[in-house]
Amino acid sequence: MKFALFQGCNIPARVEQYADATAAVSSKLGIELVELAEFNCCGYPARNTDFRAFVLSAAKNLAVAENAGLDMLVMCKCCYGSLKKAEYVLL
Amino acid sequence: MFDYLFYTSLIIFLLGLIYRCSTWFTKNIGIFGKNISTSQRVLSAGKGIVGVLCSPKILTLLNALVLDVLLQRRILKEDFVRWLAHLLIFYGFMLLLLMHALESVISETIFSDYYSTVNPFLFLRDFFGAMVLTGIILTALRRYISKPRRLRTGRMDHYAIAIVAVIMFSGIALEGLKISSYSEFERMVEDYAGLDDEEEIEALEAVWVRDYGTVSPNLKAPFDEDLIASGRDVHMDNCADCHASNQWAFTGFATAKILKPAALWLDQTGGGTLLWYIHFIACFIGLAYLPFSKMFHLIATPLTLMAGRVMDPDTSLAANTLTRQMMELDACTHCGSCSLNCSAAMMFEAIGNECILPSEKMLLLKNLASGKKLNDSQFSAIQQGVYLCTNCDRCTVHCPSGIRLKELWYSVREELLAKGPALASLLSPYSFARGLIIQHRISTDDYAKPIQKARQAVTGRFSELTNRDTAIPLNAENTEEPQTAISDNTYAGCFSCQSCTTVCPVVGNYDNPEQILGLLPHQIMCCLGLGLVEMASGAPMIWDCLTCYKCQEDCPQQVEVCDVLFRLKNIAVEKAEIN
Repeated sequence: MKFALFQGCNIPARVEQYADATAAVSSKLGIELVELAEFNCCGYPARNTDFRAFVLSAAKNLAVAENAGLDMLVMCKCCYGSLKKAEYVLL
Repeated sequence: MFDYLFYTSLIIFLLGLIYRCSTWFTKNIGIFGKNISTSQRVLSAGKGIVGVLCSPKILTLLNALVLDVLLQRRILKEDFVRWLAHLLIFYGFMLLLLMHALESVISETIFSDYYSTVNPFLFLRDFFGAMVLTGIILTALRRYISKPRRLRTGRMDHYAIAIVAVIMFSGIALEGLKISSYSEFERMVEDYAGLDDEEEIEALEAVWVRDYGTVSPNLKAPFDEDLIASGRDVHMDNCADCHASNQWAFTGFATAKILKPAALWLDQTGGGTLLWYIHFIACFIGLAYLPFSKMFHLIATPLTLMAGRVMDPDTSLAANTLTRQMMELDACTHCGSCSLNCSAAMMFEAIGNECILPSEKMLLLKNLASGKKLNDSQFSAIQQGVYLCTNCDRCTVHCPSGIRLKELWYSVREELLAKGPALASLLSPYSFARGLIIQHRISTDDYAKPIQKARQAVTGRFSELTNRDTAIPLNAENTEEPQTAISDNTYAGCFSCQSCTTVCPVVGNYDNPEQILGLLPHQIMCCLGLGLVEMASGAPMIWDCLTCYKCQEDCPQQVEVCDVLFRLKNIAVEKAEIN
C-alpha cells in the first residue's frame, strides 16, 4: 500500500512525535508513505473568512496527490475535514 | 582622477557601512526588546559576543563560518543550480577583487614576480571573470526567463544583477579592445622593446597579429613563414618575459576576435578609453552604493548565519534578539525561497494580497523598521499578511540567509494586532497557534485584547437585536438578495428538536450558554427560518463554534448546521468589511 502523507502545518512544526509515530506504525504494517513537497495548507485557517481561499488551498493538495497518482493519508483530523469538504464542493 | 574617485567612493562606502551597521542597534520593530536604549543594546551585544567567543559555542561559530558562510550549504539545500550560480559569483568576484583590483596591494606583495600578463595570473583573471559571468547569466535566467511563480523581482534585484554584469562585461570588452588595439601595440614596442629596425618591428607585428589578437592596419593574413619565424625570435627577446600568449586570456581573446571588424575604428576613436572609464566607474559606484543596496547582504548575511546558530531564542537577552532581527532585515536577499515554499501560497493566489508572501512581508518590514509610515490600506495588507500565516515554519527552514522569519512574524504580529484595526482571522479556532507559540513571552491581557476587538467588530449590532425589551418583527421585510441564501435553505427542514444544541460541546461547556453565546444552534436555525440573517450572523455562538460537526451528524432532518454556521461567518466578515 502506498499513500501520499499529508502532514499539514502544525504537526511538522509542533508535534513531530505524531509524525514519527505514524511513520513507525506504517512501516510495521507495510504501508509506504511518500512525502510530496508541493503540499501546502489544507485551507482551514481561511475557512471562516474567505471561502474561495479555503477551497483553492485545499484543492491544490488534491491536485498534487492526483498528479502523483496517490491517495492521501491525512494525520490531522482538521485537515482531513477540510480536504473532504473541498472535495465535496468541487465535485 | 582615478585616485580621487577611488578615495571618494571608499569614504562613502565606509561611512555608509558604519551608518547601516549602527541601525542594527537603533532601529526597532515588534514587541521584543522594546524601550531598551541604544547604549544598552550595544553593551548586551558585546556581552553576548564575548560570551560566545569564550565558550564551547565558538566551535559552533566556526562550523557555521565554514559550512554556512563559505560553503553556503543552505542554498544547496534549496537548489543546486542556485547554489552553483551564487558560489561562482561570490568566489569569482572575491578573487578578482583580491588578485586583480587590489593587485598593487596584494598580488604584487605576495608574488614578487607578479605581472598581470603572465600565467597563471593572465589565465586566472579571465577564469574568475568567466565564473562570475556564468553565475550572473544563471541568475538572470532565473529572474527574467524562468521566473518561478511567486518570485518577485524589484529594483534592488535589478540593480544587483546589473552592476555585476556591467563590471564584468566592461572588463572583458576592455581586455578584448586592449588585445586588439594597434595603438597599444605601437606604444608597447616604443616603451619596452627598444627596436629601431623596421623589419624587426614588422616581424614582431606579424606574430602578434597572427597569434595574439592584435588588429593591424598594415598587415593581414596569410603570413610568410620566415617572417613569423624571425618575429618569434624578436618576441622571445623583447616581450616573452612579461607576456604569456594572449590566448590564455580566453574571454578577452574571444572578444577581440568578435570585435575584429570594428577593432581599428574602436582603437582610433578611443573605445578602449571609454570602456576603461565605464569599467572603473561602475566598480566605484558599486563600492560606494554597496551599504545602501542589496549587496549589503555581504556583511549582514554571514553575521546572521553565524548568530542564528549560536543564539537560543529562550535564553538570549531581549536586546540581542532585537538587534539580531534588525540585522536579519538587512540579510534578506529577496531570493524568494520563503515565498516559493509558503503554506499559505494558495491563499495569496485567491486573495491577491502580496503581503501574504513572506518575501514581500520582509520588504515591508524593512520599510517599517526605517520608520516609514503606512497608509490604511498598506497597514491592513501587512496585518492580514502577518496574521494569515499557518505557523508552519517552512520559511524559516528554507531561508538561505538563516533568517528566523517565524520570530519576526511573532514579534511584529503582536505589535500590529495591538495597534491595528480588528482582524477577523483571529476568531478562527485555529488561532490557538498564536497563543501556543508565545504564551511565555506575552501577558494574557495583551493577548486577549485583539480577540475582543475582532469580536466586537463582527458581532456588531447583535446585542441591540436581542434586547429583550424590544419586539422582533416576524414579518420583517426580507431584504436579503437571493445570493445570500444559506446552503439551499437546509434549515427549512428544522423542527426544533434541539438535538444540535444538546450535543454541542461548546454549549455544554457553560452554565449559562445563552448569555455568553447569544443564540444557541437551534435558535440560529430558527432565526434563519424567519429570515433574520443579520441577527443570526451576529451571534457570538458562531465564533465559538469548534466546527466538530456533531450538530450536523446528529441532526435527524439532515440540516447542515455546521456548514450553515461557516456560511454565516463568511457573511459576517463580508458585512463588517474587515480582513
